[in-house]
Amino acid sequence: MLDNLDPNESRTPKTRETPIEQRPLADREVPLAGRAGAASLHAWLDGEMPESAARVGDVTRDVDFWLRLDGDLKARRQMSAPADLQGRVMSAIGTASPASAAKWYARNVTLPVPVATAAATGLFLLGLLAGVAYFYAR
Amino acid sequence: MASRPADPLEADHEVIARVLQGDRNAFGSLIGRYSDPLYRHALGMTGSPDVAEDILQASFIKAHAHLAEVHGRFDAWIFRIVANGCKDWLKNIRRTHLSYEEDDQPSSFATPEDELDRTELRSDLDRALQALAPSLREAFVMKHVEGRSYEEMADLLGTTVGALKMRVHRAREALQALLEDKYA
Repeated sequence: MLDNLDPNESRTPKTRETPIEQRPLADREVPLAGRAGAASLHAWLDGEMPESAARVGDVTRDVDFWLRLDGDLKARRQMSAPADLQGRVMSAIGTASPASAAKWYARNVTLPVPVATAAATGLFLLGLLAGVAYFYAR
Repeated sequence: MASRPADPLEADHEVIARVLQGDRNAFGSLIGRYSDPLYRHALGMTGSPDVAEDILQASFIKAHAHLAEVHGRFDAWIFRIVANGCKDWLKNIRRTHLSYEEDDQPSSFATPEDELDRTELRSDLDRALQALAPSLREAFVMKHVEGRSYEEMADLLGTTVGALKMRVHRAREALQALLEDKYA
């Protein structure tokens, strides 16, 4: 018996709920077909060409559109962070000091004497227990 | 007399060294130096002054906690923290309409009609920006709101100038398609 190699077998036909022209722009890889003169418009917007050189034919309308938009973009460029931000960050930080960048195994460890003694005693007893268990197991 | 470093990146490292030695207040100068461009980035990405402020505050607190891990450029490092904060917010939030209307920036318009036009354009542009894919929005905001060069953007985002130009161009075309009926 031969395998059925039809990839569409047992699949429902793939349908889109909305046609491409009605889907949001965010879903599209390339939003629009390039317009005539788009290269010179982008060159002007990138500061590679003077405005007068970009104002050719239909692009004049696009230049006016971007000049209008630039009024708002300029205002956004002048926005500054709230004046109290620094104070709020500093009070949130409090007296904490930044953590060390050293890896955990490279850091110096400070061990109080009682803790060190307890750890050593515990390890000794564990070793003793293992030794006794080994002795009786033989 | 100690000389002040002329290179801002060298100056950053000097400040970081002071903070790590226990001069807590020195961190304030790093906040002062970078908060404005980072705020503009967060505002452009999220569209909300409150969210932008929260992201910036959380980013600076995180930066302080991990300051000893800065080995390269502080500006690029803190930018990545803020940019990731914005991306996380965009991933997690189910947004309703947010706009810049609450901002308290001074107005430069002479008449109430100009002011009204300005508010309308701002809110339309904001809505259009929110409709862009995050990568396109990020590129457009860095170019046109933060005023960065393509080289600087490539450095901060770890990609090529060509790829960023493509993103900015696509963002412009998408914005123009969304807004030109009303504003062209």
